[in-house]
Amino acid sequence: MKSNSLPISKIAAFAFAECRGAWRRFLFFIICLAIGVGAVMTIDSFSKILNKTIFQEAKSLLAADLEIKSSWTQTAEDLEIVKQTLPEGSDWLFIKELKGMAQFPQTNQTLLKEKKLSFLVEIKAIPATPPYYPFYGKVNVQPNLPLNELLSNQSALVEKSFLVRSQLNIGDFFKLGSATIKIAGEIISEPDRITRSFSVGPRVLISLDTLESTKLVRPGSRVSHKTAIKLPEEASLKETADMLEEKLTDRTAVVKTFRNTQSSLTSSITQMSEYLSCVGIIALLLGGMGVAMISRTFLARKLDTIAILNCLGTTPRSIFKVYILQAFFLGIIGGILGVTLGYAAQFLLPSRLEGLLTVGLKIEFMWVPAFRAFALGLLIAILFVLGPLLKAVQTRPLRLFRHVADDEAQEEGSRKQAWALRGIFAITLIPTIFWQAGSLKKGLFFIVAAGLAFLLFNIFSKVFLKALNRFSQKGTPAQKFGFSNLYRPNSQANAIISSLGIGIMLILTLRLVQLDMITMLNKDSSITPPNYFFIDIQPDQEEAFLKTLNKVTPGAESTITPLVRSRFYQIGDKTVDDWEFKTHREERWIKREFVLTYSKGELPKDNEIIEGKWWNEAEASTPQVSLESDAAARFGAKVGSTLTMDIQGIKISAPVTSIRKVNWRNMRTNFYAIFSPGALEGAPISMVATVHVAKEQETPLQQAVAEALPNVTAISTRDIVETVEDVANKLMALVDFMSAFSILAGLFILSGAIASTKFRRLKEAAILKILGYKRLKVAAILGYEYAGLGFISAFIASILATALSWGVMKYLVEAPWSFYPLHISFAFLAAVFLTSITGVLSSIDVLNNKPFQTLRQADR
Amino acid sequence: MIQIKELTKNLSGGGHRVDILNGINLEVSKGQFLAITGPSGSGKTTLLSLIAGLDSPTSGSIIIDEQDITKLNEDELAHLRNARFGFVFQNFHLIPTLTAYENVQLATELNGSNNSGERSQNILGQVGLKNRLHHYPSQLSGGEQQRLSIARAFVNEPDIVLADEPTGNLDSKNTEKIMELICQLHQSRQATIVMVTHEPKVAKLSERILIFNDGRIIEDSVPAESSI
Repeated sequence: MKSNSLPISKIAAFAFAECRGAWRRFLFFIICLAIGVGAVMTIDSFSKILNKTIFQEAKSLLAADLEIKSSWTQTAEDLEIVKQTLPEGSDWLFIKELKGMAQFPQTNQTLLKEKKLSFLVEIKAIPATPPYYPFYGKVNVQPNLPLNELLSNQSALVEKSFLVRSQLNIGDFFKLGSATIKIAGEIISEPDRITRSFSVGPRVLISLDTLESTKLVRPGSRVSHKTAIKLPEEASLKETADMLEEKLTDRTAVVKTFRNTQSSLTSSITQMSEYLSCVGIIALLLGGMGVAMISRTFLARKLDTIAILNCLGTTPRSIFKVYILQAFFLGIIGGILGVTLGYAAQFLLPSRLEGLLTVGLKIEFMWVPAFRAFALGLLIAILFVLGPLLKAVQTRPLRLFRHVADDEAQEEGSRKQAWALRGIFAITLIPTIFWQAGSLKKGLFFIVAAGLAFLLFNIFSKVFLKALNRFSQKGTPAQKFGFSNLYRPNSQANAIISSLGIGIMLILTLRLVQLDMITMLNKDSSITPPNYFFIDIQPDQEEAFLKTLNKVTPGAESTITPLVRSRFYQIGDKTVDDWEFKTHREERWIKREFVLTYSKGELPKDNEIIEGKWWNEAEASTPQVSLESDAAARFGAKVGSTLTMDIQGIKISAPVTSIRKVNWRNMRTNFYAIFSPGALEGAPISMVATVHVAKEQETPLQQAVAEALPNVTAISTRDIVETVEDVANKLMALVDFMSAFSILAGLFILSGAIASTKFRRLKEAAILKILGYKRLKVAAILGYEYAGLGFISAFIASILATALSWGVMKYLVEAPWSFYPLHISFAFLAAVFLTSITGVLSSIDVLNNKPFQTLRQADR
Repeated sequence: MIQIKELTKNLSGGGHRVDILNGINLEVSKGQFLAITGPSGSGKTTLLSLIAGLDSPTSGSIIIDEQDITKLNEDELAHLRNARFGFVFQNFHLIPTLTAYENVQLATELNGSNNSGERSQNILGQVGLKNRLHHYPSQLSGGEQQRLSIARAFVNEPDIVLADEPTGNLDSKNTEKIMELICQLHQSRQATIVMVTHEPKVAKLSERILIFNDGRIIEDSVPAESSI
């Protein structure tokens, strides 16, 4: 016997007919999906736009093809090597970057009152003669005149923040080191500065000649010397870079191409976007849950139709086709809407990143992310409809002969079917998550974390609902009725609690971790005394510095530490050239610049000897070195090994006599290697002083040092903490923006779930009204129910978020964790409030409907 | 045409067994109009749903034209329903998103009829809904909705029409009209009709009345001529 099936045209026509009167539910379906698709599209597309901009602007991001960067000025020998290595037609120029103190004339009354007469600036010195900086890109300045013209006659270009802080105007003068400099204009943007996030002071652009007149550059000063190179078109970038790296005698020099800059930037963006795309997946999955809920509701109202079709002889397969086709079309609409939403959201993102990124972003429609988000949305729509639909098509026509107790109850479906469905979910969703997360590890982490979260929410919500069941036996009728709505059959409370709760948990965890991080920074700087670093103190200025310090803040706690810049050369018989680097990261670490110090015999604070023995004053004259434990492990050094460091070409060796553990978070000067004074005799040194002064003495001290020793730079730990906080806040704003998608999805699911039981609620409300309940009382019942939902979701979310933030701080950040009852309470109350309001607003028609009319409708 | 042998149906749950049908034996000849009546819970509707293949018996057989339908699978039963059965329900059970015409046409299309449009229009004319073709069920009165459901039941010229309380939701005037229509269609189309009803007056319009009690047939009789 052959079964009856409808032709596809009829299935489509019927699917279309079945849309009649269902637009409200379909709208929920579409919106739930669109939110998820929008979240995925926003992240994917925005990171693509960022990467594309960086690719297009790659050369100007370095302002050159190649750059040689070193802590020392290029020697004549190296300059000759550069000249010989570079192909004919190449051009190069020198740039110096350093920090310095800008001082202002004492005539400014406002600043005098505030005693703010100097602050830290980031100096960039460029040549005043051709070839001019930059080779690629443009320094946008106001007034729009050539740079060499603006920078002539001891003039400088400064950032707007410089003018704001100093209250100076273009044409005014300030002091930098020993020179008095005129402000010639304002810097709008620099090509080779993509982020302003970690700068501690405003930019000051001067010529190399002006820099010389400031006398800021002294032996041992922290100066970054750059040689920017422009290659002729036909030259090979990589080959030239490799040759330079090989030939240069300055082993500390780093040769960078514009492609390196681009790839390091794009990899940071990729990392960030991978993290954010996980938030996108959550929003999409929550959207999927909304879709499942609304489909379940829609199909529950279609059970009679399905039974009739069954009675008329239609096969479950044909019925399945009708509704899956409908889901497909709705998925398409939701996908298109989501893509549009994601595209629109990108116009909001650049303003969220203001101050974090300086590249000009051109928002455009990105087809690949759009298609990807759309396809994901469609897949999620179909997948999440599958469960309710497979159950619905099993509806037996027998229901037409019976008055079923719960009109909306669906067939439970067989165990085999349930497993098949789980299988389909697993084989479709898991690869999708891996695809979206970008890596196997991250994907796996996400799946485990999300699975665990759903499981925990499920268990907890069941426990809570059971407890509520007991609790609700007492109380007013409104309470009893409201709470009992949460655990009655078909209530969906579990699903709502899970989805809402996960959204709340995500946002709260991020917020708690951020608070812990900020506390960590503030705490460390307050526990350990130094609140100022004075860098670049010359050995002959030590006395003058101490004198100034004693004059302004007598008795202030201070430490002066000598610094020597060096590179690692050899451990035992193994030189840096023999090293077989396993990762690029290892190579970077081994080849980095190491700042050393020497100590006459006192072990620095927050240092603990874990192996060997620390020298005393008598032993200090013998060359020896103490290594920090992590550095010792990376070098493969043990007590007894001989360590050789390269200090500007001179090799200094000493035996390792101890290994130390260092608390790096103490905001003091910490060192990987501390030599005995005997080992570093004669090496070029500079000094750094850490000083702790009372808050009111900070500015006078800074001012006094700036006046007495103009080349010395003061860095406030408060400024550093504020900078880090500022960056963290900006990044959080971005994360918040994304998390908002999942909260929105959660609230929509709540609305959807309310709509899913609307019919039953309408009937109940009508009966209650006939029994004499006033609208306010009916509203109170609904209020209890939704507040209950919000309470349970927020309560579980708060516990899990607290536990999660503890885990993150303990195992990932490895820093102290704090409990923030105020923030948690606020999040908790906000969640309960939002849930209740959404619930009651979604039920307005339940409250307003005339009972007689409702019951007549319900009986139809 | 319909042969029922030793048919039982029981439900178990919570350690208890409820016997709904207790060894029913019944023969219904072709073209017969049979009414089943009896108190609530006596097993009338269960018998109807078993005949339609919508439920499976605990034991016994239901043979329709020499074929035991209790041995058929879901797909075969679906085909059987479409090819040979028509249904009329107390609650009409029309598809609310389709018009009167589309509701009837859907049944003919599933049947694979060639001139489905014409047949649908004819039967709708016969039940007096010619002017209501493009109205949705919600725009029709109760009586009209039942007439539409009867049109849907008869449009494929089924051998057997199963009617479950077809007048249960109607007033006396509409009950009269509907029963007239069913009798008329029974006459003209020669279909076997099995109708469950509570109303003795309605049952008397049939050719044979079975009275059920506690899952058994307690009376099998031919009614005296009557009118509502």
